[in-house]
Amino acid sequence: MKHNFVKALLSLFVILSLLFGIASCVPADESGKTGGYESIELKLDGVDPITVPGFSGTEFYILNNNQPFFEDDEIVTESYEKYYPLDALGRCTLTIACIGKDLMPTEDRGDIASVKPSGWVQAKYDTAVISGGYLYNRSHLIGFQLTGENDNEENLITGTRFMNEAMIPFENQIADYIKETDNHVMYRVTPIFVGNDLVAAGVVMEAYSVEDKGDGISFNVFLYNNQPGITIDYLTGKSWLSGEAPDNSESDSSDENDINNGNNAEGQTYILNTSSKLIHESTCGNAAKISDKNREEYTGDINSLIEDGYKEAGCCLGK
Amino acid sequence: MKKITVAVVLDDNEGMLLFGKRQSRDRVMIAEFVESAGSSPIYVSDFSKILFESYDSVNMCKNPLEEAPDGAVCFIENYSLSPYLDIIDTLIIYRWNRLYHSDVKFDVNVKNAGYKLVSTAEYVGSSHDKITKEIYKK
Repeated sequence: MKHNFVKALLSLFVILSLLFGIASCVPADESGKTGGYESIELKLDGVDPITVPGFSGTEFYILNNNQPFFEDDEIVTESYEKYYPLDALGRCTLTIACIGKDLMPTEDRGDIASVKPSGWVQAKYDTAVISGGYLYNRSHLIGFQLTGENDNEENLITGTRFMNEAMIPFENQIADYIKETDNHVMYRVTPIFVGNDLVAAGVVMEAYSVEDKGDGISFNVFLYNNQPGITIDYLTGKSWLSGEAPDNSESDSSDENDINNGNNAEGQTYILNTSSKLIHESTCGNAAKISDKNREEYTGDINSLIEDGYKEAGCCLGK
Repeated sequence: MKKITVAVVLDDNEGMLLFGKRQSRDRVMIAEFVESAGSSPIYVSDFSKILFESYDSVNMCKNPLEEAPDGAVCFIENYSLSPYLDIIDTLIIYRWNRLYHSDVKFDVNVKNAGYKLVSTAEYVGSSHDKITKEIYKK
């Protein structure tokens, strides 16, 4: 019985891999596990393999002359959203949507801390290395501001702060275009995993505005799930400062461990200046100077604030 | 030498365009721009035509910076302003207060170019929570 279940899971994994794309790569080091791939080969459904150069510090790489891969019969004018099942390794596979105003959220964002995406081994570094300190975010494949998905495990991957921040401006552009025009945007986000890696090497983001045939929005990009200054073991999610020896201790990605180590990014408390739209650390001296009228305490994911237009204060969050 | 007013729209990183497309648009902002031009002739490029389709009085041309007459008000999305600073006596910068990606950025350092900020205003757009309008004069 158990054997059959495992067999079924493996079969599902193979089918999903063929359907939604897998990736192979040339590792930059001998272990083949530490990321920093020299190149990544994308194998997307219905598309010839594409070789993406390794991370060089830029946020994204343009694919297919920036033309999205949508087939004509995939481009529709009625809103829908679809999140494909996790694969056998518990990894997200694919999300696709035709986004209209009717799908956009009307309520505040909810808590997503209950979801532990594949490769979730949170780590905190000096804010001089990573703005805000935390390496990982629970990155929505389709951003909350577009379809209002909160804690959907089929839509959340372990994403670096660097990648998450690179996704948001694309999402902003789509969201504001839809709000302004009431048009629809076809949107597909595909996480790219190399081999059995639990952390994605990156995501492919495709967008195409439907009613004006791409005049308003049209792009096809690969975003790197890297973090400058940090080396990531994409197989497990463990990380360390680049140039230093890796931490070979047993990884523990439990939420309890995160919290005990003060590493729960979603549980961190910040002080907001609702007038200047700045985020301060709760211990920041400048936060104490904010008038009661403009002061608000917030506990949760800092990226939610950034997506809502807030910025990190340079005095404490290093930006 | 002719003197003109030029308006641009920028994101938080002084960005203007991405992949040859505007970063964003807003009907309320366009309406405010047209209204504030008053009786001055408005010139925009063909690239910006879609934003001004409901305004009959707006003049379309290839490059407003070259073709607009003295006293005109231009809305510029896809031209560099730096070669034209001698003729731009008033610069209007609208800010989205939003972060988008960009591969074309605003190429004028307003202070170094001799402009002084004379007014700032904020308002709510049709799809943007807060649009800031800054007016600079030489």
